[in-house]
Amino acid sequence: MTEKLDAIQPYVTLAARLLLQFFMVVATIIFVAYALSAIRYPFALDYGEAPLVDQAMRLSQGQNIYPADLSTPPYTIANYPPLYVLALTPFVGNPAVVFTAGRVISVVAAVLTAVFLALITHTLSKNWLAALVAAVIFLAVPFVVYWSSLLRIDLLALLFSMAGLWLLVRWPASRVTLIGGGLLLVAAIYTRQSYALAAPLAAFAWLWTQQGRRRAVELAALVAGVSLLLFLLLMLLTGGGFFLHVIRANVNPFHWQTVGNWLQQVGDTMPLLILGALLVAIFGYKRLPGWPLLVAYLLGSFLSALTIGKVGSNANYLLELSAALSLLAGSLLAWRQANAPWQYVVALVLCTLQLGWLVRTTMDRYVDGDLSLRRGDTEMLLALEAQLNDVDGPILADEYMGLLTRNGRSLYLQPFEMTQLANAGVWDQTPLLQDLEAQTFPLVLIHHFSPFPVYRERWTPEMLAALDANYRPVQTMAGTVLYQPREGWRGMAANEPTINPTFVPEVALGEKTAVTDAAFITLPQLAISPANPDHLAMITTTATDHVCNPPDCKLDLLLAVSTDGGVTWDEQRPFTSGRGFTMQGSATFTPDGTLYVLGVRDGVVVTNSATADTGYKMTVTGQLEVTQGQVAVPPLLQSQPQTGELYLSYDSQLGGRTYTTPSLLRSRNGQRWSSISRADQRISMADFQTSFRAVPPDDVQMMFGEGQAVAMVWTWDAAPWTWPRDVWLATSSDGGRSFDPPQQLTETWGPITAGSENGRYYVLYRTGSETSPTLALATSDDDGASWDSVAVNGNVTLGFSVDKAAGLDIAPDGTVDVVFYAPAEPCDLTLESWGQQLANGSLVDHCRYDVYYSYSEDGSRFSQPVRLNEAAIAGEQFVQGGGLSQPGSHLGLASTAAAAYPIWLDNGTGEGVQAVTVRIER
Amino acid sequence: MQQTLDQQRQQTKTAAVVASVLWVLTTILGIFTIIYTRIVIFRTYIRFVPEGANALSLFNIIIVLVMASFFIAIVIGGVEYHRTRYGSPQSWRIFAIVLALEIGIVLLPLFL
Repeated sequence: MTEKLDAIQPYVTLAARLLLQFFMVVATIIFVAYALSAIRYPFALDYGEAPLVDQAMRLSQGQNIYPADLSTPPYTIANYPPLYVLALTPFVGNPAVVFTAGRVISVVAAVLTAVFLALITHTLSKNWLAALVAAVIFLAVPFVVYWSSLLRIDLLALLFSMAGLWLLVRWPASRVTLIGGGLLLVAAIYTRQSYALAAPLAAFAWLWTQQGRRRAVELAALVAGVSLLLFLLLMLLTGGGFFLHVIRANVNPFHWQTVGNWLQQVGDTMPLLILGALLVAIFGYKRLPGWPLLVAYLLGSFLSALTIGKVGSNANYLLELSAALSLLAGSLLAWRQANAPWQYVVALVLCTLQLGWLVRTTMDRYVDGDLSLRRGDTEMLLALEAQLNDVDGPILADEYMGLLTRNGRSLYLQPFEMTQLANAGVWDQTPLLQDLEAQTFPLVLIHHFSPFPVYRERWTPEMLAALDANYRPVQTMAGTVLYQPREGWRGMAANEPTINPTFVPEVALGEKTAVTDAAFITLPQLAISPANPDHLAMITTTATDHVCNPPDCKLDLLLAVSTDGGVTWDEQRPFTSGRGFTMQGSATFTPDGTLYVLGVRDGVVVTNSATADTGYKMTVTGQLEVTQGQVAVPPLLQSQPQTGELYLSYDSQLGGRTYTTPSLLRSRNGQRWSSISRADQRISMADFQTSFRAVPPDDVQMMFGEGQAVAMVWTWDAAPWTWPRDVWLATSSDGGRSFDPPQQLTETWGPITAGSENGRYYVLYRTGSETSPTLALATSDDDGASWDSVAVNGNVTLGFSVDKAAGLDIAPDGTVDVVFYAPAEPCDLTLESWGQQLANGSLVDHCRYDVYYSYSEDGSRFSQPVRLNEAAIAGEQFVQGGGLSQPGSHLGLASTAAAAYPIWLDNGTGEGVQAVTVRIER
Repeated sequence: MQQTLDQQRQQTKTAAVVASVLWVLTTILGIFTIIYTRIVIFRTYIRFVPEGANALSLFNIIIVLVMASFFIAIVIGGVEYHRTRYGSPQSWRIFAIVLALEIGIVLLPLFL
């Protein structure tokens, strides 16, 4: 048997070697393809690129890039020694090509590093295949592929250190190479200071074991001595600034959890390389040529990699470790070939699999992830660049600082570095805060990644607060929020709500009525006729299944009309079926009693109408298509109480599906609609539809003031996928033809509900904290110029809930009616768990709810809430779609002077929920 | 001596069977290599050049032509080559090379 195995061993070895070589070719192609794609990309691929360009620009102008005094602008930090920056200076004359040049330097350095890895392996093993394997594995490591295409210092530093090591490995006895190798190690240190550990340690161990202690000490003295001399020289030249920038400014907060996350990534990406390295480290002692060098380099690079726990660190901390693992893999292969043929075959196969896995990780994480996202932003960044070029004065930016340096503009602030210094108490940020308060900057750009709030590492809370108070977000582009100085009031309009004592309600509850037999319903809305208060209309979205996932499940709108004060209801489908869904209904009565309903059918907003004369029967001919430009917000139809003009508030596309804005359409007759009026807040659709770096505006609603005064209110926050969110208000004095710049009304921990009556504006929102929010009502009697706020929920405890807005309506006599959900028992939903469930696409509501009604005769003092439901409502019974419970954000409510009609989703007799209403006389 | 001749005949027979099986295997894998080469090149190209979808039809023709040529070489050339050399080191060597490349191509979609 052994003879037969020995007979086929050469052919198996040949096949295994060819297989490995095939994968090596593939890995090299991927490296080259990635490098070419990155080099061609015109904009910044990483936060750290622009500061280096900025430093090169300053250096070429003879400026000190390591100023000791950081109290005056520019507030910039040169984190690294100057060698790479010096290499960039020849290219700063043409700022547009600096990114290309810098990335080419990195790519060339990466390739040369691979060459030196191969030369070291060959010197130690005399095996060219092993040498090639070491080189190609290095170029295949995803961290190397990614980082070697960036304008960053790291690959040049690694190249110097590898070149130095090779000289010392190849000619250990030569004094010339001792000096040459030592100087290259110094060059590595003066490219990136952290390279003072792994390569010098490996060289020291190598020389000690090959040439004795004396030679090793000579090298150490040379490297330490020259480094120290250069350090003193730079300290002298910069007035001590070199230490502040290169050492002190790099001492960021350290998190072991970050270390753990990165090490897990390393383990997931290079498991077989780690296994091979451990085998060499354990079994190679005194057997493997170069063992002291390899193990010392592995140890040094591992220790260096541990500093990845610093805030702001990235894959560059893993480059030396990647080089070490590649060296060890090559050496292991050569070692096994010489000693154990079948083990050699196994090693070849494992190397092949590891290479394949490295390529796959590169493709998944960096080609489909980072590179794809960046390239998807190209059009937007071109537009943003053009916009920035039209702006005079200093601009603050973070991720896309490169848009400034690309156009020859110097940086005013490196937010991350200065934030870390401010947090460490090294830098006083007061002058910058004063600049923000003085609105010195015409534009501030803050980039958002999803789901990590990286911007909080880049801007201090004080900077963000000053920005929020004095600037407003006008636009998002390429995941970046553009802030402009605020035009009107600064800060939030609504103060903390007043908590007035509640009073005992004097109400008579009628019999609870299920409006419809439909069991799977969501988003019920209720309207009451001003012409006849007994006429009520409810429109709701019905699903064919409790768990509604297309295409098996259908969604349609159901209209139920009562002409006897909610005792009996007639059902109808207000719209003919489309090819897909009809949903997101809204209903309103005009002052003359005409009922208008609205829905979204196959992505098109459609309306229909009917009068009491016809029994509110909707006809096919009454259906009209209004717009197909709506994006994310359920459109809302409202009627101006005096004129009967119809107002359709929604978010509308702008610039050919580039942006969406809170928008308004108006119509006097429901037949012809006005052109779109917009609030000045443009959200990039790509930012929330494909990259999830923003949220669309939500809850867009209208309020009607005195005369031609109207206001649009909505929620939106620059920070995506979190709470609380900002409530925005845009006022108009011409009936909604145009809007003033939006102002921040308040923050909310959930959806808002707006209403108006007799010229007064009302906004119901959730203030307070995540764990104990307060339902508050903000009111304004002066068309939104000033606001008062009162608490509504009395002694009822609310929990974290961001998908159930309260219902609000105001009777003609000014009585304010409110209906809201509150947890029937403590519920463990938190902001964190909500975020996790949302990210997982599984947000089934496991809480149980009660529904409460409260009212106020003057909008300042509310009654004690009255519970309306009999048994607690199980959230799991709400219709589920796409893994999310969909109760429909708003509770319905319609008010008359005599009574209120709340409508809520209650547990039905079986599966699902029913729309239930009750007449409440007060 | 008679036993040695029998052994040699047996070995030759075994070599012929193994060579035939390996040839069939290279033929089957050859079909898959056409399919997988196409998939891998298309997918990788689109991932790196998302705006270059127009070039795919041209790539399709080139890939299929080139891989079909290889396939014919493996099927017909393989028969011709191994028919006269089966059992020889050269024959096993060619099998090792062809199978390594085919397995490499078939494995590639797992990683790309």
